[in-house]
Amino acid sequence: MGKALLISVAIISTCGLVYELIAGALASYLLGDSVTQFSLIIGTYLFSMGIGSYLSKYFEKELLRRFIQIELLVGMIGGFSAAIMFVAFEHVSSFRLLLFSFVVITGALVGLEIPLLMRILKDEYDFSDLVSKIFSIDYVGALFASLLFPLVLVPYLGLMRTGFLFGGLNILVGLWTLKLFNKKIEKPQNLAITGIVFAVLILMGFLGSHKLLHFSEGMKYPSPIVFKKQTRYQKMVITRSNESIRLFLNGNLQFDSKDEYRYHEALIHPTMAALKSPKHILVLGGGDGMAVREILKYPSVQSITLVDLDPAMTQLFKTNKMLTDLNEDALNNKLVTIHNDDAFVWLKNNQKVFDFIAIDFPDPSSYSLGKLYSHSFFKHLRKSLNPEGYFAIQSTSPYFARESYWCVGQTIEDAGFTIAPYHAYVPSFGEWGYFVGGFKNFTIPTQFIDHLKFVGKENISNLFSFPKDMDKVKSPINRLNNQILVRLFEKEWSRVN
Amino acid sequence: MSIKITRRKLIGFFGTTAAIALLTKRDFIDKFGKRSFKGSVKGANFMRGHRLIKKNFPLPRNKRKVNIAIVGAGISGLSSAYHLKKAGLKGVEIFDLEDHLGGKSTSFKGEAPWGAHYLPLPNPQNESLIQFLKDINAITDVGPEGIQFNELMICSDPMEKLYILGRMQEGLVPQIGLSKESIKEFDTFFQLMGKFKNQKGADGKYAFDIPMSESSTDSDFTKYDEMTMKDFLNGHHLKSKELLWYINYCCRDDYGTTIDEISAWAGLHYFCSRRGTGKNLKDESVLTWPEGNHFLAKGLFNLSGYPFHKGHMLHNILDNTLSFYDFNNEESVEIEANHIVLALPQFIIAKILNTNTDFEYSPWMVANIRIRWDEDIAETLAWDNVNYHGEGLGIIVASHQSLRANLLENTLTYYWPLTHLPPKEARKWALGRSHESWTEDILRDISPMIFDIKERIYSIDIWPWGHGMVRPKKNFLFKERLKTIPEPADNITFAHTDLSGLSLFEEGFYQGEKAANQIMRKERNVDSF
Repeated sequence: MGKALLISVAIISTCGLVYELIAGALASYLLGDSVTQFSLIIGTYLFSMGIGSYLSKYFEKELLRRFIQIELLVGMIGGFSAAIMFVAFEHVSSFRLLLFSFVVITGALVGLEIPLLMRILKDEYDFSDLVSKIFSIDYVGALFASLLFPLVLVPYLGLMRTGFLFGGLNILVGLWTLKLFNKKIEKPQNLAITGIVFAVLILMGFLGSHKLLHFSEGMKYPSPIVFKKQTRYQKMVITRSNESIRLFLNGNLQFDSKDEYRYHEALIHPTMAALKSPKHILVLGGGDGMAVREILKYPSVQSITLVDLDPAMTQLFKTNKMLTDLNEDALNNKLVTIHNDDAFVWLKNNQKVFDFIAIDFPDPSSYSLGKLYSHSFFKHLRKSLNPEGYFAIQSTSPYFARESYWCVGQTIEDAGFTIAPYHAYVPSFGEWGYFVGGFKNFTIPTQFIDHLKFVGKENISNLFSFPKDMDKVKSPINRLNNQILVRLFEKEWSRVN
Repeated sequence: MSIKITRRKLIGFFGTTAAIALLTKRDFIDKFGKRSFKGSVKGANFMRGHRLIKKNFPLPRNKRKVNIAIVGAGISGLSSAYHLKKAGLKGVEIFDLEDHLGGKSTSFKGEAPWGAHYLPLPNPQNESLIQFLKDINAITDVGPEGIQFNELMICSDPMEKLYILGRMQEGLVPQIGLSKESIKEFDTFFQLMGKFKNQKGADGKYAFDIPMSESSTDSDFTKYDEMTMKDFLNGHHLKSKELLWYINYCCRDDYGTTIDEISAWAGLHYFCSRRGTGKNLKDESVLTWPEGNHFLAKGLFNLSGYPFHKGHMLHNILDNTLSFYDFNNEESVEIEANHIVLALPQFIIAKILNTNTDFEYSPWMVANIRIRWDEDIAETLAWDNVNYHGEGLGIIVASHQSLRANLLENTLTYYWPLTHLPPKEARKWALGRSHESWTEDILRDISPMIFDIKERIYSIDIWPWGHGMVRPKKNFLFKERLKTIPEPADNITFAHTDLSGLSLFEEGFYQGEKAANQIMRKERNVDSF
């Protein structure tokens, strides 16, 4: 028995285990709860291999041809598995069904390999020698794969490229076998053509996979990416680790499911609790529906208007199970009307008056976002706010970007509002700042609705008091023609990062 | 037959795959083949204009009477309409050869300028201009603390960026790679300009003012008209290459003329005539709109409310009768008017009245480029983006004043005064150029600023202006200008920036106002008889 055979056994066994690891990793990335996912995947995979082994007895003739066909097929399916599952994640209704279908099919095909190979070779070698060599190499291949996978493959290639690489290897084994035994196979041309076509597809997948998901970028994010989309307006990335789901827009963290309740309770409840039966609410930004979720806790609310630019964002948070679990299906509530429009432009044309306006824009990190914190913006906000009402706005960190924070406040004041500054500690963001703005002075509420986890009468006065290192500093007014805030923000945050 | 997969075959097959992958990349196509872009060469209607030479028009079918006919719907003509309306005059009608309003203050589908595109803050004494800006809500309040401009119409920050030595810097004054001497020369120059700005002549008038006719006629200042800007700078030992670039840029920008030819008085006027301020504004702020000064043209027109007859070419005036050819209805139209405002450049007036003119005009090319837009490019560009090493004046971003935080498409307006040849030759050269050659020049100029511009472009439309602006060369403003303007008949009033010699909105506005005042004086004289 030649070295060639041993090498191919080593390769196919490594490939087999790699597909299993890919499925396990994908399941824990996309579905969370890695212990359960890995356990289920390993079990199903091994069981499917068993099915494959059992079925091998029904292959009677042309074993070599069958073996080569299986190599090509498993290379193709295993190779594309990661890419297909990543792309399909946001589109299919039952991701689990897709995942386990892949596991069962690949498992069964991999299970067929070794029994077929043994039967092919049984007449040419001493059986006990054959069994001992094939199985020992098989297990060595498994060890090799399990070491290679976490240490080299995932960090440097990512799941999709790893899939393509090993799919390609499987196909090459098939083609190599074909070359060695082509005299014993009828019509080897057909197999060769199929093999070459498959190899080209795999190679194209390998080269093009970065277009589907930038895995190099995966390094930037602390946890595995489970969803990535370049929408018309922004780059959305969702990552998932065991305990938390995080949303990044253009690389900036928007929320972490672990502590977003702190951020969103602080944005909504101090003002909502201060208002007497607020009825009509406007949310600017906040397409994740978390702010809406908090607002829906008030029975007096009759309508919520959400203005968020990106339809892809609001659609995702309306339909994806993982995300609707987080926002408690808030965006599908019948009180909610969604407008996918630019907030400034929408506000300029708006005729309605609201009792409470929650403003949850991304930080002023670019000139186009800086306009949403400008004097002109707040001037336009005036006509949309009930004279008795208030708005609350997230205003970056008074600790990390103290001058930027107070610049927002003074700009709001200059546009003719009275302000009440407050802040909250959100572990994944740090100390975070907000303002209440209105035509009348704001009185800090003392009563809150039940079942809040963070905001309450115990800590409300702390939220509204500022320690010395975050206290007011004088700042220029942010205007469209000076964009002071964007410049301050860039200066202050570049010191932090 | 058996198939052997040889190494050679395998390499060949991988090679083919790689080639397929490469071919799908756009840069590959760029390197190995020219891509042509959608769009066309447009332009002021040469074909229509050239019929003025032949003058073979059909006989008119009827004749109408109006009180005042304004011929020319550029800023001067529209300003005279606006001022006539303010005075309550009736029976005023506006005619233009083109189908659009605004003359050179026209726009690309109302989205981006085809010509003039901003207005500096008005000088405090320029009351009628301030009143007009109030009328169009560009000024919201005039109080003791100063003028409150409409923030949405003041050019947003960041205003200007300059690409120099591989980097984009803020502001148009070069900052990167300057020698100590260069920096000192810039200081000297700006100090000098600051001094001139506040200087007054023996007649008590500012050395340089807007409208220019308000400037002092003291020979201490008018003497600068007898030299070129380059002579002036030499006289002050200002030779730094960056400083000369900057001043040359400014002169090309405002007059379409280089420092080697421009009158030093005109050059100094650019730097020393503006004393406008506004509440919460930097003095160098400007008013601008996505469609450029077409906004102002529409403002003047709408406030006047007079009818506009497009596609009407004036080809003859006999006493009170104006003969037009209406290109849209293909017929001749005769209008009898008590007063005629000829708001046309002198080179056209010369053709109509069969006289001669020595006025020179600089040809320009303006291009509007529709592109794919995203956050990356939005953060790279300011409103005005200039390539220090380029031929043109740079690109203006149409969406700069937009309140939309996220746009997917945008229009860039590229400006190029064709100063590399004498005007006549440049005009000829420009009219013969193909879309491809223009595009090539534009892309060479702007691709250093936007590296992936070729992949972003949807279309490029080109507008060569044969007669973009009057050229205030040495000795033009205070000697030759007034000599060559013909004396019009009593019922005719001229109104055009030509008459000022400086092609600025303020001058057009002023000339229109002046024409309107002259007509009102004549009307009053008639009444008092």
